Order: sequence, then C-alpha cells, then structure tokens
Amino acid sequence: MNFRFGLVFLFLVMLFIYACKDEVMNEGDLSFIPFDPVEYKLEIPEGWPQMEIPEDNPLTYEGVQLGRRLFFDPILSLDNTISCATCHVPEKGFSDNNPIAVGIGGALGTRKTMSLINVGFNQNGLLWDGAVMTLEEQSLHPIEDPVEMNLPLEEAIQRLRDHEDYSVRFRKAFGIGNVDEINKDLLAKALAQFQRIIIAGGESQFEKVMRGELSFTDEQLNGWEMFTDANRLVVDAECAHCHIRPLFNINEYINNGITPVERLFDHPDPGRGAVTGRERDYGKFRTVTLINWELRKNFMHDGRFETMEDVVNHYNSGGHRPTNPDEDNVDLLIYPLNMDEFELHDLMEFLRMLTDTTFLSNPDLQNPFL
Amino acid sequence: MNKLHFFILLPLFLFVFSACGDDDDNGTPTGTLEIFFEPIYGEDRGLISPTTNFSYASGNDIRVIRSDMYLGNISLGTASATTVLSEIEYVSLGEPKMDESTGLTDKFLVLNNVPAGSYSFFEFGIGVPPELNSKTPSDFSSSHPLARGGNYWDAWDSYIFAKLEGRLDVNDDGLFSQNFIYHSGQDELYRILRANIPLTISEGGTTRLKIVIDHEKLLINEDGEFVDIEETPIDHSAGDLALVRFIADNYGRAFSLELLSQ
Ligand code: HEC
Ligand code: HEC
Repeated sequence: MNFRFGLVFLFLVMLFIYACKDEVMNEGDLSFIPFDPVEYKLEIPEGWPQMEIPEDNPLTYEGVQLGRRLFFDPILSLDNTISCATCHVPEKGFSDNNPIAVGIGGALGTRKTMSLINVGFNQNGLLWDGAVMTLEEQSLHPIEDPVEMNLPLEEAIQRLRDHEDYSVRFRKAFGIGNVDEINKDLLAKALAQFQRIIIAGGESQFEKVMRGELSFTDEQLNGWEMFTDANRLVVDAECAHCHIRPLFNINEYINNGITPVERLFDHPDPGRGAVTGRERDYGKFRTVTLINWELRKNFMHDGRFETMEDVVNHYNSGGHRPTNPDEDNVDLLIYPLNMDEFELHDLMEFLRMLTDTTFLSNPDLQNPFL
Repeated sequence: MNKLHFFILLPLFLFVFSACGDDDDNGTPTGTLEIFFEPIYGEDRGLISPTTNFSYASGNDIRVIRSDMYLGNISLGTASATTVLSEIEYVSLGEPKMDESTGLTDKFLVLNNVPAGSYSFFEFGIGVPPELNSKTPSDFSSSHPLARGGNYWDAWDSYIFAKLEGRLDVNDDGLFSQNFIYHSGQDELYRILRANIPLTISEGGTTRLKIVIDHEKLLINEDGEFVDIEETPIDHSAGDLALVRFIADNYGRAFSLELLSQ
C-alpha cells in the first residue's frame, strides 16, 4: 500500500464515517411517530385531599408508563445493577427492609429508604429533612448519588438516547421531535409522573370503617380513640397530632425524641438543621405516613426500631429529652404516655387497620420487565 | 407610635362584602399590606423563645415555645363596606427572630392586590371562620393552609384554631419539667378582632402594620385570674373547652396594633 493510496483511503473512510453520522442523526428523528398523549386519571380515595400536579407536568398515560419503566430499569445505575425499585420495593410499601439504604456495589447510605406510598401528596418538602422540594427534583438525585446509583446524568441521558424503545416512549410521552431532545428534565418528569400514581390506603380496614362498610371492634375503637385523644376516659397516645388521617402524616419537621443527646449539636444526623442552618432544627425530621407500615420494618430515619412494637414502646416511654431545657427541642407531645399492656395492645390493633395491599394488583404499579 | 387595642366583635353585626376573587384585572388600583407580628411576653415586651424565661403569675418561670394560629377574613373596612384581603392564613409565631436594624421580626404576612383607598378599620378573626370550618382538609388541594391535616381535629369536627405550647419551671430548678399544650377549636371559639384605625393603601405602595401579641395576657385575664398550668397542662380534647375559652376571651387584650408606615 503506497502512501498516496493510504491518504485517499483515509479520506474515504472519513467521508464514510461522516455520512454515517449524518444518517444516525436522521435516524434520531422521531417526528413521524404519532404524539397523542392520553390524560391519566388518578384514583384518589374518597375524602382525601386533592393532589397538586405541576402545570408543566400533567399526568398522561404515556408519561406514567415511561416513568414506570425507568423506575424499574437498572439502566439508570452505573453498572446496570440497581433501579429505583431495588430500594423502593412495591411489596415492601415502596421501601425496603434494610435499616440503612444499600446502593450500588453494596455501598451503605446514611438513612433509611423512605416509603413512596402517597408521596405525591407531600407538599412540605421531600426526604427526611426536606432538602428537596419537588418529586421532579428528587427523581434525579438518586441516579447521581455515589451511594445509590452512581451514574452521571449525562451518561444516563446518553443511554436513553441510544435506546430505541425509550426514544419512542419519550416521543409518545412528551412529543419530542428528535432523540437528542431527551434530557434530564424529561427524565425527571417521567419518574415524577409514575411516583404520583403510587397511592394506597383507600381500601384499608380503617377507611372501610370510615365509609361505614365495616365497624371497629371494641379493641380497635379503643385504639383509635387513644390515637386521636378523642375520649377523655381513655389514655391519650397523641399519635394523630403528627400522623393524622387520611394520610397519617402531617409532613412537618419535628424532633420526636428518638436520639439520646444532651446537646443539639450532638445529633449524629442534624436532619432539618443541616437544611435550615438553625441550631434549633437539629435532630428534627419529617413525619412520615403510617399507611402500610405492616409491609415495612426498621422504622425512623436511621432505621433504629425494628418493629412497630419498638416504635410504640418508644413513644410510651416519653423518649429522650436533654436535661438542659435550652438544648431541648423535642416536641412537647412526646412525654411518658403510661399506656399499660392492654392499652398498648388496643393501639396495635388499631394500627393494624392501616394496611391496604390492593395497590400491588394495580397493573400500572407493577414491574414491567417481569 | 400610636398603639391601638382591639375589641372583640360580635359576629352577628358583621356584614362582609368580600372583595377577594374579583381581581386586579378589572383595573382597580391596588397596593400591598404587610403585617408584621411581634409575639412577646409581658410588660418588657421580650420576644417569646424556647430558651427565654419569663415569670408567670404562679410564681414560676415560663417559656413559650409554640404559638400558631389561623387568621380568618383579614379585612379592611370603611363605614359602608368591608374588603376581605385574605380568607385564611396560618401563622407560626414560635421562635421569632428580630432584625435589630428594622425592629421587625421574621414573622409576617404580605397581602398583595389590596384595593387602594382610605379605610377606617382593620379586622381579622382568630381561628377558622364558620363557613370554612365546616369543611375538612380533603376539600382543599395539598398546599392550601386548610389542607394541613395536623390542624384538623376529627373529634371536634373542627380545625385547630390556635396552638399555645410551652414549659413551666414547676420545681424552680431550671429544668422546666411541666409542659403545657393548649389547642383551641370549634366555631364558638372563633373570635373576631377589630381595631379602628385610619389607614391608607396607595396605588403601588406598601402599608405596614405590626400586630403585637402579649402571651402573658393570653394566660391571665383582666381580673388577674390565670391558667393553672400544673393543674391542667394539656387541653385539646372534645367536651371541655373551659380553659381554651378562657384564653380565647383574652385575645382582645392580648393583641394590639401599630401602624408602622403607609
Ligand atoms: C440505594 C437505595 C435507593 C435508591 C436506588 C433510590 N432511593 Fe429513593 N430514597 C432512598 C433513601 C435512603 C431515601 C431517604 C434519603 C434522605 O432522606 O436523605 C429516599 C428518598 C426518596 C424520596 C423521598 C420520599 C419522601 O417522602 O420524601 C423519593 C421521592 C425517592 N427516594 C425517589 C427515588 C427514585 C425516583 C429513585 C430512582 C431514580 C430512587 N429513589 C432510588 C433510597 C434509595
Ligand atoms: C410530636 C409528633 C409525633 C407524635 C406525637 C408521634 N409521632 Fe411518630 N413520627 C414523628 C416524626 C417526626 C417521625 C420521623 C422521625 C425520624 O425518623 O427521626 C415519626 C416516625 C414514626 C414512625 C416511623 C415510620 C417509618 O416509616 O419509619 C412510626 C411507625 C410512628 N412515628 C408511629 C407513631 C405512633 C404509633 C405514635 C403514637 C404513639 C406517634 N408516631 C406519635 C412524629 C410524631
């Protein structure tokens, strides 16, 4: 092969590559695929608040289905081993059984995986400390987090652009004209749409009693009255102040006295304090839902209580309060409740009414890859 | 600065012409009303705080940690009409911070699109007005103040109108071992306060008011009777409203108003 021939050959090769690239770009065109999204109608149980949906991300059938695939697809993790559903497991109330989340390659996180049940109703910040405000925003963090999925977002987007099925689905959900319009905003929107349909609790025994389809047993009624302080003749368990129906959550940042510290700055996880920078917010965490707790274990932000019995015993004991009142930001509703074993039993009987597993047979919430 | 006191209004004599809703787009000139809150305790006007002691009528020291309330139908009025600026707001006055340079706290409400004009009184209710109190959180979408589930009390069929919580140093050992929690609710405890104050809202301008709330006066009435905190540290159950009614009846004395600028 002489030198001149070599140059010509190189030129031809380059021309070929260039032409191919051009062709790939043409292939990236999606505009020929029909874009005709269908509105997704949320089924919100009777008597529940309306869910606020951002105007720029209305729920569509196509968007939800795309979000569902993404949620269950390990493609969004560096080594293709972990999906959102690895930690947020539907059968475990969209949480998992680990006290502290375990991410890619067994990397240990810092907090307990939160349940995503009814997450779309949370309007006062997300995560245990409220560090992010919207589901759209929160949907991207785990992908990049080194102890979760550890995949740079640019790489995630590239994988989706290179993926024929996803390209079509992004077109159908968001009407993009070309694969390179797939970006992190649309990825976040799709994941958020899926998470907004994770609704459960409407078919719990408790809701059936509220609708008059069932009645409380004596023990359950006693437990409910303790839970809500509804009856002067039974012990107040105070729970409803922070876990009120229908969502069994008030979404506020509170120190419920689980961590024995003598000074605010001693909290091993500052929680809300790290977000606001205020000393008096140290050790405050967001209240969470009690719906479907029976599907979960290892409760609280650090997974410290393995069972609900442990949780209830904590509240009954009055928790930990620093001796120095200046260092004390434990909520005043945390104090020794003095429930006896019969009262504790009745409270548990009530708490067991909050389970509703019908969401597991909702086809839109199932793993699409199975 | 002139300090004005509120008087409690009998709801019977109220004729409210609601102006909220019929917006700015009809061209009416509007301005802004800013309301700053100064939650204090006692004569010295110290700001309430979870780490500041005040002396309570029982002889013990007291700390006020939480003071939350709904404000209903915040209005400005003239002899002939009342303009509702906001049907409902929720304010949390606990742990306030004072900006020393302005003398204002970080607890405030900003009401925009207030029709410009001269008014002769300022008025609001403490609690949730009956027409809204007949609703429940599920009637509102999740970020509305009345969607706050923690502020609805099933056993009362009512919102919790106001929460007053703190600690009393019952043993005088600095440990403040007695918590108190007083939550009020139910229509009969809704109180409307009105202050007769000449006030102007100018087009594009901002008028500033300050509401001072003396928490000592919430717990002690004009005859010197006071809440026996040790005896009744918690009051939030249905069926016994005596203690929270005592507090609600003190609102008129505990709240005062100052016009800062207009
Ligand atoms: C390694 C386990 C893990 C993976 C993978 C994971 N999460 Fe999470 N998730 C967590 C943990 C732990 C928290 C709480 C973190 C905190 O408070 O700091 C959480 C919290 C959340 C929350 C907040 C819920 C609330 O009520 O505030 C949302 C939403 C969420 N995750 C969505 C996702 C999505 C979407 C994915 C996939 C893109 C995902 N997560 C992947 C562990 C995980
Ligand atoms: C003063 C407010 C308050 C009261 C009263 C209260 N809780 Fe909580 N609860 C919280 C907060 C805040 C958290 C989250 C704390 C954390 O993780 O650090 C929480 C968490 C929980 C959790 C953990 C859920 C999970 O997914 O990890 C359970 C279970 C629970 N509470 C049950 C109860 C019961 C039962 C009662 C009544 C006996 C009760 N709570 C009373 C504020 C409260």
